[in-house]
Amino acid sequence: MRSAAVLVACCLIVAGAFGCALVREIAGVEFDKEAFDLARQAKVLELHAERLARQAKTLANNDILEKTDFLFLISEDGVQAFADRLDSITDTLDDQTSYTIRHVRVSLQDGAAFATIDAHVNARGYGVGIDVVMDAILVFTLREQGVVEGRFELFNISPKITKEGIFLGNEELLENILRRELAEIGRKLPVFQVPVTMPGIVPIKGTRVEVITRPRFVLTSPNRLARYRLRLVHSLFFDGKALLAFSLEEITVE
Amino acid sequence: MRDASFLLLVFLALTGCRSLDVPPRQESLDRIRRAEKVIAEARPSVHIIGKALMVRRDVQLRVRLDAVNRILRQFSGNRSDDFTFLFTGDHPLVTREFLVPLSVDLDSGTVSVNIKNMEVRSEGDSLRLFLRATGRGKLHLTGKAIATAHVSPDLFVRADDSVILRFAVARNGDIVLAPGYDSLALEMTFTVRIFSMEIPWKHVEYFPARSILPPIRLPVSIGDIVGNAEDRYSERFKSTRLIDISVKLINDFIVLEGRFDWEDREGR
Repeated sequence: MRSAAVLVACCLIVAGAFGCALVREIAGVEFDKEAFDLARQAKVLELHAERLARQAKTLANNDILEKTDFLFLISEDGVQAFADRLDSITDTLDDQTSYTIRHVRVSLQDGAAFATIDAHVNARGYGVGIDVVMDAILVFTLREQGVVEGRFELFNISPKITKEGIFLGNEELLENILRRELAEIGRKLPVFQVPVTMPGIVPIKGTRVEVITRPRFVLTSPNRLARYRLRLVHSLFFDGKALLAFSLEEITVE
Repeated sequence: MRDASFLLLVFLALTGCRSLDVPPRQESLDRIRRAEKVIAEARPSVHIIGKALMVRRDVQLRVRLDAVNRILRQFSGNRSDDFTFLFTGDHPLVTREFLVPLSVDLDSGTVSVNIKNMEVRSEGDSLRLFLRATGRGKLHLTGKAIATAHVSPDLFVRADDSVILRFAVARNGDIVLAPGYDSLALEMTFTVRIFSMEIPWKHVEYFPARSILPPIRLPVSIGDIVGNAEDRYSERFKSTRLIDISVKLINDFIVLEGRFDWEDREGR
C-alpha cells in the first residue's frame, strides 16, 4: 500500500506540472474526433482499393464464371443473416478482458466485404468498459471438414464516441485494446458458419427393388462411397453479393 | 498493488499523459484521395460482371454440367455389378414358330449389368441422362425347347434412351440428382440353344429408371451445419434450411436458388 501511495504522489507532482492538460482532457477537447474518423475512412478505402484492384486483375485473366464447377452466390442479406447469429456473443480476449458483440454489420462491395463489429469491451478486474467499433475484412474459407466459414480480419479498432469525452476514465482500457495486435484480437473473434457444406465423403446408398409383376425379379445395386475433393479457388465480392467459386479437384467412387 | 496501478493508469489517462495516436488530418485526406483514384479506375470492369450475376434470394448455387458429368463418369467404367437382376419367376420370353412351335419361359437367372457411360445433357428446360450399359449372365429357361440360354454380353440400355433427371434439395440439405419416373428400356439379346442350333432372340424390358439408378448425391449440402467440437458457436447456425427453392437450367449450368430459413424447426 505504501508503494501505491508513492506512485500516486508522483502522479500528483506530474499532474501539477500539467494542470491545464487535466482540465482540457476532462472536457474532452483534446480528442480530434474528425481526424480519427478520417484516419479510419482512409484505412477502409486503402484496403478496398487494394482488394478491388486485385479482383479486377483476377477477373480479367480468368474465365471463372464459365469454368468453375460450383459457384455460390450469396446475397448481402444472406451474409448478414449469418452474421446476425453472432449478436450477443460474449467471449474473452484474455483473463481480464471480455467482449460482447452487440451487432455485426456486413457490407459487400465491388472487390471486398467489410464488416463493422459493434462491441463492448470490459475489463472485469476493474469493472470498467467501453464501446468499440471494429472494422474487418470478411474472408471466406473452406475448412477440411467441408464447412464454409467467414472469418473477420480486423484492421481497425476505434472507440465508439457519441460525444466528446465519453471515454475518459476508460482510456487505459482502450489503449490496452488498441496496443494489441489486431490479428490477435481477430483470432479471438468468433467465426460465422455459412450453411453450405462440401462433404468430402458421400455415401450413396444402394438400391433393392423387388418387382412382382412378370417377369418377377429383384434388382439390386451396391452401396457406394464417393470421395470428393473440392477447393475454394476464389472468393469474389460485388456490390450486394459474394461469389464463392469451388473446383472439383478429385472424385473417386468405391 | 493491482488497485494502486489501476489508480495510476486512470490518473495518467485523466491527465492526458496517454493520448490516442491519430494521424494528422491532411495525411488521411491524401490517403483517401489516392485510394479513391484506384477504386475509380478498377471498379467499372468488376461492377459490370457483378451486375450480370443476379441473386434474387439469399443464395444461388450454380453447378456446371461438366462437373456433374465428371462425377457420373466415376459411377461408370470398368467395374462390374453396377446393378444386378435376379429373375425369380416364370415369364414367357420366347414364343416362336420354328419347325415346331417353340415357347420358352424364363425361369430364373442372374444378369449383372455394368454401366459403361452416363452423361447429362441439357435439352431445353430439362436435364436428361443418357446411359449405356452392358451385362452378362445366365438364364435358366423352361418350356418346350430343350434349352438353356445365356445372355450375350451385348445387353444394353439403348443409347437413345434417356431419362429426365431431377435436381433436388433433400430435407437435410443434400443436393441430389435423381431420375424421375421415366422408364428405361433394357434390351437383352439372348441366344437360345436348341440341340446344336443357336437362335438369337431380342427381348426388351422396361424398368423404372429410379429403381436402377440411385440418387447421386453431389458434394454440396445447403442447410444445417455439420458442427464439431471446435465450433463453439455452431449451435447458433444449426436450425437453417433452404426454402422457396427454384431450379433452372441456364446454358451449361444447373442454377438453384433459395432462401435460408432460420426458424427453429423443432418449434414448428
